Amino acid sequence: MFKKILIANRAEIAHRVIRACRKLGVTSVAVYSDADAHLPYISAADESCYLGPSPASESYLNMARLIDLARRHGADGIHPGYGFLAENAAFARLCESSGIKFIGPPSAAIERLGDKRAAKEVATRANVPVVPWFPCAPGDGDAAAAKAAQIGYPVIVKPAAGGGGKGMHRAANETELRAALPRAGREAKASFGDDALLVEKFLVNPRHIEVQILADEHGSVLHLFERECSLQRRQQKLLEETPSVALAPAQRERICGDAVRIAQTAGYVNAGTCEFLLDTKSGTHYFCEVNTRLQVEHPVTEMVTGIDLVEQQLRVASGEVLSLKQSDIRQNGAAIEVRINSEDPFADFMPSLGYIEAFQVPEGQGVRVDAGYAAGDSVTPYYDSLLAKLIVHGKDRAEVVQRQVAALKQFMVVGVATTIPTHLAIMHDAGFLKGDFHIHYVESRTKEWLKLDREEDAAVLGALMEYRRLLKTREAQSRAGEMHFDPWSSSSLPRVR
Amino acid sequence: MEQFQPAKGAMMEYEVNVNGQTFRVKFTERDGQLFVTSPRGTFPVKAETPLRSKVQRVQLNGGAATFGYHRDKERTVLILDGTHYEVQVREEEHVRFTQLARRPGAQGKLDVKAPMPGQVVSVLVKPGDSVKKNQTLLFLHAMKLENDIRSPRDGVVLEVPIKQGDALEKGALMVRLGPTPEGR
Repeated sequence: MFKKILIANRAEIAHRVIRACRKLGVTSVAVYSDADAHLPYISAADESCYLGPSPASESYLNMARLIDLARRHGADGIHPGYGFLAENAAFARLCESSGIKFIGPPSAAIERLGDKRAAKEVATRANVPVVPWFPCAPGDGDAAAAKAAQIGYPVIVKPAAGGGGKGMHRAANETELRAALPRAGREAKASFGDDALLVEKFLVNPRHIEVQILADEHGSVLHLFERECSLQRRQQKLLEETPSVALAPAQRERICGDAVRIAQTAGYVNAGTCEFLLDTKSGTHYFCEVNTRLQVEHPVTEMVTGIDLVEQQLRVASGEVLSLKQSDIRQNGAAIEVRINSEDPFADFMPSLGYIEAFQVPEGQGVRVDAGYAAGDSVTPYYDSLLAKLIVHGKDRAEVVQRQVAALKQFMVVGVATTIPTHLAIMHDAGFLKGDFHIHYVESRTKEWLKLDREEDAAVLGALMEYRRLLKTREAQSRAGEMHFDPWSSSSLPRVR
Repeated sequence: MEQFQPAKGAMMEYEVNVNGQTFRVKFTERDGQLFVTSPRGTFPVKAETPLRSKVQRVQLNGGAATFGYHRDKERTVLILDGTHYEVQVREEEHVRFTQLARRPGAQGKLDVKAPMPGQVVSVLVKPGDSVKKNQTLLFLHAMKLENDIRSPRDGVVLEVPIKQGDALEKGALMVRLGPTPEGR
């Protein structure tokens, strides 16, 4: 087991890794930028050090600095968390050549699976269905039209070298395809420096199903079942759950088995996630990509399997043989995670920055909160908007939903807007409750979910607070002896604002 | 937590604007219990958290309501189930209440302002006069009555920007007082 590891990340995931370190008796080293200097994860670590100025490029993406700090502190391992350098093969290589263990897959696996075309090839070799596709160049209109006719419209044109939803264009027919290719090529060149494209069959309203993989350095590859993450807004997940209500047991076995085979074919080590798109009409699942890191939503898997994924990551990275057997891994009950972001659902999810005056997290049976912030912290514009993850476990989905509602109502954040109202709306949404949704569902429902219906409560409670202030002022002034009988004056209080 | 005890039978009425809707909210007291009246009805209400707390808990009609509360110079915001409601609370003028105090103005100055629209009947003081607390400064004809406007404290008259016959708006400055030369 490691003696000391440096966590090359921040906020909630840094805190998560620190907790696992504590559990295993590993010394943890936290790093922080200027903006993060007072966040709670720093004092939770055994040691901490200043990383650099707030912009990520100068801090959490600064590979040389991170390696340097790890060396100075005598860390024998680096945990990259998620985002930032977690899927950066160059960073993994730099760790390897510096004699510091990168807690994740080998750099070669990151490279292989990071390229969309190469990853699809791995899946095909593993006999896993892949969304029908073909590579193409922006000028290949004729060849593209012929192949697209074979796979069937609608199709989507994507940059081969990029990600994050950039440069993607849908085409419903040949005319649109011929128009989309040169455009997508230009955008791909501008965003990723490479105008190579691929054309894929566009699935209508698919569901996002992903499988958690865990593999050790001795050839053992396990799955920890699936998560459904179909509720997304602009390619960002809002909510994740397990088990997926869309999967029958046989289908679950097939998807999880496919994920394991892909991991084996790729020679994968440590924790990773295999993402699929489920075409509910045909019942077919198609391989999408592999995320070669720990995911934000890993807690839902932990809640139903009872397995600590970060602990397992540390064990695998220290060379241990996985003590878990596939037959030991079970899904017990259900779990849902909601991402509490500092975004204003009433202002099109605009990021809400500012000082957090109050931050009271819920408690209760089956409730877990992984928070990155606390009262007195400030939300700055340098990083993502995730404040905390609220994860709830229960014996079945209905119980989880009930507990989520109670927990969301208990969760008090004052100072920034949050996505709490959106999650409360989801918990009452008929489609969600029935399990009837897909990756475009949120976009179709967000207007409905913008409900303002407690104006009278706000009026009553607001007036009560003013009345209390009035009485307090009267009391204070009467004590100070500044009493004055004047039936005609208006009080020293509320002016209309 | 302050032990606020509303005076027996005391009432306060507010007009509250929330997202373009207006509500009348009234507070009354009966047998030591505070009641709030809104369009929904009249219900007992009891605050359970200190006034300064950002997270407030209130017993309202037997049920607990927890909400976030933020008030600054610019706005007052209540957070109910994560949703922000900006409120503007204004007192209703016609309500009488006892035991009021007035905050002195900057540098010990005190402005005596018209409590309602009215006409100046007669002015009894001029700049430089020393006045005593409760001394009548002027008479204002308003609401079919001759109202004697009295000095809130001992002081010196600094300005009297009004004269007999002037029609005043509510809030118009009638007399500005300063501290007596020996101090307050």
